[in-house]
Amino acid sequence: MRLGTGIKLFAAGMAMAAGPVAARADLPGGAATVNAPWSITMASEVRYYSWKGTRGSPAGVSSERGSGTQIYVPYALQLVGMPHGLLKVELLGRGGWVRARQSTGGLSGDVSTATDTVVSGTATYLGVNGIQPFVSLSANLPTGKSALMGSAANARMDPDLVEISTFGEGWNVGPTLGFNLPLTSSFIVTASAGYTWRGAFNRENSLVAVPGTAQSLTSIDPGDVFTATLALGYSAGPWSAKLTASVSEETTTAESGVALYKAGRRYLAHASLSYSQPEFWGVTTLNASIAHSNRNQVRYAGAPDLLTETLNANANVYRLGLEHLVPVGALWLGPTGSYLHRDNNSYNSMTLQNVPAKDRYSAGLVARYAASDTVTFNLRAEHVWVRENERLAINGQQFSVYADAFVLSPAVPVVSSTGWQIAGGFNIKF
Amino acid sequence: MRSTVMIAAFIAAAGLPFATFAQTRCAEGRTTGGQCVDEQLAASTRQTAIIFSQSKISHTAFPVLPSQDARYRYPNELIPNPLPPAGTGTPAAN
Repeated sequence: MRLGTGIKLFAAGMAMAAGPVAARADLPGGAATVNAPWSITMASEVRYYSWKGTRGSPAGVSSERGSGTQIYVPYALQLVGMPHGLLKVELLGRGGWVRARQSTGGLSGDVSTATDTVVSGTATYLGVNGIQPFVSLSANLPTGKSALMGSAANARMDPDLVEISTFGEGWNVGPTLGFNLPLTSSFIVTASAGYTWRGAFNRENSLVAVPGTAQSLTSIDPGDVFTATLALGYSAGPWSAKLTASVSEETTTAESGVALYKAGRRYLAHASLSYSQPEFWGVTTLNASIAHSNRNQVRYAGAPDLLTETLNANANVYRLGLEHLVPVGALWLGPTGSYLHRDNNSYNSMTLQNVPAKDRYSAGLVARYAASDTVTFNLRAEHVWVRENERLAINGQQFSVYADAFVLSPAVPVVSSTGWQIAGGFNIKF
Repeated sequence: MRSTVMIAAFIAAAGLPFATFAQTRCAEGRTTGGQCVDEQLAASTRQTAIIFSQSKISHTAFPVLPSQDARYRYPNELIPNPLPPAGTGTPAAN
């Protein structure tokens, strides 16, 4: 037997063992499969964001009306397969390019850069009935631009209006261990624990911390994060539901070698309910999320160590999302909408630490078209409304608990902004 | 020649159980009772658990395809970035 023939037999065996791999997963139902040992998916989108508002971002710096645009082009390559009949491997690399421009008077600036690159690999062992353990490793590669010098810093805009508001950070590495515990074929408990090592990076100091002072680089060493997660998944007939909850503990973040803050313990919960009846109704998906963080430890003026803040600087955040897609041949389309509410934090509205309440609404259309079993196109267009409550300041002053003194800080009226978010892209599977 | 035969024998031995397994394989494993686990549900809960366990892996994106961002991006919306430029003010003159 020739070696080449043996390799072909081996490859054929591997192909049989690997069997079908999920395809068209981005489509509702997503049940189509391809018979290949490895599935490679190439995907990209072009996303355009445009907004205008009664203030720019940050709202307290300029009293002029604000506006801005952003173009973000993410691209990714995913490899999914079963190199061994009992092992499923998923690999993904994702990069992107972004151009952001804020045109607010006194806050104008723009930046064009590659984004950070994200890579991940997950291996799931399928050889034990009743439990499927998995290990995953994710990383952030600092290919973006963390320090925006000069007016480029003004290109950081409200993340409720544009997708990319941070253009780079350091090396982050995050291993995750977990397992799927299928109590029945359609009732699954998933538990995982992850640790995120977050590397230091340079960025410019705040443009507005001390007006008139020249920018300089400052080193940020962000805190590492440990997170435990529990997820429940259930499906019955046209219904499927998912509940996810996590708790995170973070270490201290330092700036230029000095402890800056330690974020409070963070709790996240998410619920998803989906009803799928393509023949009569389509697919409806309802999502709800809530986030709460305990009080941070912060640096008070003159104190040698971080101290737990007297009130909670973290607002609670609530989010609801609803989407309904109807199949029209190979096309799925329908409305989408979301509502996000951030309540004001515990600080009195007359203190500099007060974060006012904020609401964000979005409504739009989603369309997905399967040109073939291996090619799909996506289109998403949404209009966004954002409203942030006023920040009070008598005689242009607010009390800073960190400085233990009144400091200059202009009052900010209610800020209302509107924007468009349009995205189009494709998935190609090989 | 001998090494070629040995490699071929190894490959055949390695490939046989794979082929046998392929007849009864389940894409996301089995329950204790031997039933195949719901493939989409298992993949979805695992992906969600990994993303929640690495919610600060990157401010730019989670490790998913861009077409899946709408489905998985919400943890980012719930966790504010603590490092934007902030109006910290200037001490007022006495």
